[in-house]
Amino acid sequence: MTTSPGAGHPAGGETALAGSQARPPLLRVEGLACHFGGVLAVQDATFDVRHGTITGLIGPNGAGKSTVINLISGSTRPGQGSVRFNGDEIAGQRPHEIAHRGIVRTFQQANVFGGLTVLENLLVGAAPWRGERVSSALGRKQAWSATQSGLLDQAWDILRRFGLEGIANDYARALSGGQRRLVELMRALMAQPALLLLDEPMAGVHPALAASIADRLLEMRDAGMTMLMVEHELRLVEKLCDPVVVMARGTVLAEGSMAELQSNQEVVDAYLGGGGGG
Amino acid sequence: MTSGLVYYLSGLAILLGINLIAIWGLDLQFGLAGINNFAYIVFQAAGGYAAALFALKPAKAYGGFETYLGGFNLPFPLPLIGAAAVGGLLAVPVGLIAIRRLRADYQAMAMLVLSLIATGLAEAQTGLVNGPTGLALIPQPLVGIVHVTPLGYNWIFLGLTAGCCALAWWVAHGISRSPFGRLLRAVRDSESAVAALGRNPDALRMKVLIAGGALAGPSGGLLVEYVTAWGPSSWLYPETFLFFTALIVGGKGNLAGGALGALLVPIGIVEASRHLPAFGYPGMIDSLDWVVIGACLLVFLWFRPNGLLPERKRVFRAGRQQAGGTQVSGAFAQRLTGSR
Amino acid sequence: MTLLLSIIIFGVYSAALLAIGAVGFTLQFGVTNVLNLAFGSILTACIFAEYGLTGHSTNLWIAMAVGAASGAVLSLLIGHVVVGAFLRRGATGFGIAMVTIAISLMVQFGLEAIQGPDILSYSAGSQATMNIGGVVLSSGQLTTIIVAVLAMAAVQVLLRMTKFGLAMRATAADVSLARTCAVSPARTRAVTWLISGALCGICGVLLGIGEGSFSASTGSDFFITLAAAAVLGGIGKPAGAMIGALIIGIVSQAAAAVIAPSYKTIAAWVILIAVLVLRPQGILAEFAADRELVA
Repeated sequence: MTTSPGAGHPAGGETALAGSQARPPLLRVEGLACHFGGVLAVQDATFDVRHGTITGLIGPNGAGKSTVINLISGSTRPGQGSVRFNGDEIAGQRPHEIAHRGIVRTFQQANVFGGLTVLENLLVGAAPWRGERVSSALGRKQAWSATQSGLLDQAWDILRRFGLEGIANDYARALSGGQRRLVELMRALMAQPALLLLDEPMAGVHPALAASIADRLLEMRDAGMTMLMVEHELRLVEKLCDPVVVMARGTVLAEGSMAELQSNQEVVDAYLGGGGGG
Repeated sequence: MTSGLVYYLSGLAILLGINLIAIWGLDLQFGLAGINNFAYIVFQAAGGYAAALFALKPAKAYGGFETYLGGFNLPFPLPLIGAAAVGGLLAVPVGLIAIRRLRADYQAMAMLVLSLIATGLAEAQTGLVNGPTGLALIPQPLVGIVHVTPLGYNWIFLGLTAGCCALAWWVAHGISRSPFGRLLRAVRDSESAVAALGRNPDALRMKVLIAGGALAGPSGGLLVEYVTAWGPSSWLYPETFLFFTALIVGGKGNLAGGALGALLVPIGIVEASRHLPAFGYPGMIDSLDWVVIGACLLVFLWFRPNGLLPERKRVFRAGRQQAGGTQVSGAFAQRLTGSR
Repeated sequence: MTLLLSIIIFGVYSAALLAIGAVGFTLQFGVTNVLNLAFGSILTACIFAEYGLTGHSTNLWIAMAVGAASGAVLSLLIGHVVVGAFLRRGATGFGIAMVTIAISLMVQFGLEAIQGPDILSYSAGSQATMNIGGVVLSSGQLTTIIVAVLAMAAVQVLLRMTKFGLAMRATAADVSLARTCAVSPARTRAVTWLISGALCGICGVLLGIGEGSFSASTGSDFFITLAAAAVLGGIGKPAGAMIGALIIGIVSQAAAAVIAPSYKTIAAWVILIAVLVLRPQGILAEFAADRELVA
């Protein structure tokens, strides 16, 4: 990139934009497809997730959005296609192997460990560490207790940021639905993943709580976390996501900012204007 | 206290210790990790057979009235160590069947069938462990070395059992309070969430099956060496439910609950009934024991499924407040900073 | 040649005996979604009840009727009342399995306490035999085959042509759908327990007659083989239970003839394990997804 003399703001902006465009995407999905007993749930899904973005994934019911999340996270095996994370092919790997690489997901139904306290949930969220081995269990407690204290401090910190220290020692099964979603989110935050997959994080959540979760997500993005978020509530998508990927009938229609998509006729017909899902 | 009573109590204490080890082993698998191991008795039986086959001399040495594999005539403590090894190893093939994405009751039925197949094979293939008649005259540890009265030997055996209990406690307690134990409880609640956080739930369950088996094995070994005889009728499938009832009555997911269960169920119910005046035909009281055990199970499942001493909540108090940002740790963080 | 004929004929007899019980078991699972591990002990109790009421009766059909009646009553009591109470409280799959185990322990060992571990001899009906190409079948065994065919036909008629049958199929497929039926789900479940109990009782009586004897453990030993037939065929589907029974009947008979008599039951159990490991939904897979058999 040559530097032109007297480069004003536009050129500088261009440089910055060109720089981030030149960097390969964190996640590249290409030609992803899978069947469920004869029904083609996803066919030829192709899109990118760039570093430092909250990329939205929207579309009417049955478009295949959650299936795409399952395919990326490994819960479902793809029939065809590729998923590249940081350049490495991960399609077809098992969920824990994919998670180990730095992709953590949340579930449509808040998936917390009911028989563990909130703090224990967060402790399990931390990246796998040596103290979790059987050999550590049979050895001296001092070998792992220091690291665990550090993780506990982190967990308390996260709880304070969310204002939830009060439930730290409650069993997760005793929490309300909204609180469980927050626990799942905090747990994912403990993992500090490179890519966070959010499957309808606001579904069934009170609007005030949803707004507060949205603020947290923006904070996490600003701190450097990349996210791919499936969401139905379009106002939230507008607030949080850029770019946005639109799916319908198992395939990707378009990818771009909300403004661009709103002027895309195909997208409007399929989803935004003409009574799509919601 | 008459010497007869002392002798009786010492024997009872030995049986308590043996059951304690077995129950703690099952608690690791069922209480912590939520594995419905309806074949648990086979692990104890395998340990018992291992100890017997390691301690006995080859079949021909006894005049061939029994036929069985092995007979290595190893001295104490090798048969017990062998029992632990066999118990742990058995977990591998059983685990390959038990650790599947099967509905819980289906999986329980699969384990039950394994238990039946094991008994069936032991009885049908007489060359293995002498078929339905079973093994007898199993050598006891240290018998040739120490010369004491029967009561004195009981004290020695009790000491041995207590030592094994201490080892079992060390294993079970260590696992229960450790991060590994926490992962097991997480798998119990949601294996999909565990996988989504980068851990392999199948591997975790296999490890706890091995650990539990490694406790069941010596329990069986001690039992066999104490009773000096062992046959399929001693380890029929209902015996597994003796241990399950102990955990459900006493409380699963914690060692104190398991100990209470050991005291109340295998010792309490079975021993108490031995002191009733004999009525009916011989063996009727044994059958009634099982009716009582089934009834206890049902009653507790209805009124108090978590047992008398339920699993304790693990509470962590607030640590010091961090002034700056939190310390970032772990491999994920490197990916995070590296991707900026 | 006689060996092959013998395997086939006794295989068919075994299949018939298994089918009666397996269809009852699978019907009950399909509608109530409960894996009833106490089924075997109910089977045993029916033999005891029948023997207690009529002794060595002269009429096989009366014996079967008595067995069916006791089975229906016991099954309703255990299934609808006791297990049902736990279900209404929200107990899940494993909890229910433990409940049924507890019940089976109480019933089996209660019977053993009353009767003792002895084996009782048992017979009913005529002692005539029939010779088919060198293979001798007793009249009891022949009757078993006939009863099995009749029972299977009756079950199909029930399911396809009656109001209750429709309600049962609807409840098996989707409980919320079933609420739109004329019959309430609760009553459908109750009737299902009755019917499966009746089939269990008939199976028990015929088993006792076929063996010539019975004891407190007869039912539980037979139960797993019966469950194997149901699971192999595809649990919840009566047609599957029949197919599974036929396969297991012949295979286990062959195992007994070729390896050793004691391998008759072991072969069936190994088949069950193989099915649970390789294809838990069985041959006529239908409920795998909805019932979350494979989680």
